[in-house]
Amino acid sequence: MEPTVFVPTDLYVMLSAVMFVMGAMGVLLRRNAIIIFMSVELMLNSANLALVAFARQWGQVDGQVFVFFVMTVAAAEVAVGLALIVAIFRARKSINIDEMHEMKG
Amino acid sequence: MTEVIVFLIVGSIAIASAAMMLISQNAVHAAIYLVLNFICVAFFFLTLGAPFISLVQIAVYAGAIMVLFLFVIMLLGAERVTPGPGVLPWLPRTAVVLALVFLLTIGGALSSGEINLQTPPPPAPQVRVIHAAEAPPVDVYLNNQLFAAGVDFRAATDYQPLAPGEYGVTVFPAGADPATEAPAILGDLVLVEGDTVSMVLLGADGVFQVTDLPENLLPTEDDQARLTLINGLPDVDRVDLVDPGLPSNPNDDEVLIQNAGFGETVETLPLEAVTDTRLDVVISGGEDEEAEPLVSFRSLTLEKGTNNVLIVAPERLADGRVRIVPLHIATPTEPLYGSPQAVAAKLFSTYLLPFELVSILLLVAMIGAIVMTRDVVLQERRPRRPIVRRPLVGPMAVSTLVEAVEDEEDVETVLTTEAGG
Repeated sequence: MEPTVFVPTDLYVMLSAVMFVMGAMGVLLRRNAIIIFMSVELMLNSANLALVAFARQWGQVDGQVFVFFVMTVAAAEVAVGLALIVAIFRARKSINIDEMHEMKG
Repeated sequence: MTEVIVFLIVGSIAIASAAMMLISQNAVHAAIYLVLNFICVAFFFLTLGAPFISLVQIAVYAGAIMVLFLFVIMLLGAERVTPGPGVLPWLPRTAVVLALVFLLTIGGALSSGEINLQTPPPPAPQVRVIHAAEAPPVDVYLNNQLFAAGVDFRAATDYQPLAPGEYGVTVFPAGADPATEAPAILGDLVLVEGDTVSMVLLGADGVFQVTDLPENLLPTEDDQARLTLINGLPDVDRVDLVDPGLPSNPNDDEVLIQNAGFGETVETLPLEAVTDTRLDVVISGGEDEEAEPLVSFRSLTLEKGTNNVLIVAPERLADGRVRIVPLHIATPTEPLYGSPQAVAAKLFSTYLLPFELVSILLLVAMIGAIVMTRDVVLQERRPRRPIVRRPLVGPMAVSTLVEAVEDEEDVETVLTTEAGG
């Protein structure tokens, strides 16, 4: 059953775009690896919001299944990413990504 | 209008918390602002008809993942974020320009209608066959195309999608060649988009017909089931469906469906879901309250969220007599949009392969995290201690004189050396 549409999908897409841009700005402007990771999570979430909004627009749950997958992949990404950060911090005593410009151990 | 105002309020909270996350100088504060943003997004999921995803968002994202972030921040003692001059001085200005370009593109696409926000077309009609005629297994042809083959008595096929339009229905005994034989049953079928139709084959003794029963697969109300009755007896004029109530009380009979003629579709009735009940089919207009029912549906279970078709059908026994049998065909309706059932149904049918792949990915990520954070010191091997090789003649060999003894002379040599030493 298709739920009644109250708020137009355009508004959700706009909000999702704004949140995505803020996440991208965080990735580009911040130098702390953990904050960069959180910004990536923000971008993933804004994409999820757009997916659910379009799923409601079409009255199909496929978009929600996709959101489920995105969440799972995000969880995997966080596990690996944080492990990387911990390993780098051990080696260099810093998580400032500007200090990680050499591909040396 | 209220919805739009609530959307704007929660949306501005979401944007403000995202901005605070970007500019806060303390990583712990940033993480907590991000949790606030996630909760706002979960609220939007609720309003968008995705309650399951919304709760997963709160439990997995705002709960588990953010706790992991906070844990790592605390573990590393990295909560103070000192902004320093970046290596790329042109990056901030470029990032702002790119962000504006992105937003203008999306806004332009939305305002010019290039993102298709039209409502989708209704789904294709779905059709199935229910065989309730006093006949052997049949093949059903639509416009001379085989639609269902070898349908047994009492059986219902699965729904199959068909293009909208008018169809001529011809039914043959199973395995018969439609080019040479005359059809046993004739009917017609008109489909429009969004329809769901059951073609019910009815009749006995040369009186056959196809009844097109429209079905409603939309979700039922909570704890309810839908019920309809089809009279498949050509020699019985009209029947009623009666709930006999308690057996001890003959006066609490309740007529559910009245005057169902042969092959007629009657109104579909919403009912409370019940288990192990009994419904009677009686001939309409019977004056005698105590008359035996024509046939009874005994231990009938109407599950919630199902469409139930009750058919009284004739069946020919082995000895040639015809008896009346009750047929109960239950079909689950669609789960509610966005409910866990709806998501799981998609996940375990259409998206089973991606689901498996994602689970493998999770496993790999787990192993990767363990390998990467393993303590490096444990990997270094200790330097080997130099192995001291002892001479073949040890104290034991000397005292027992066993080793290296080959003949008498050697023994004497050893003995003299010992005495001399």
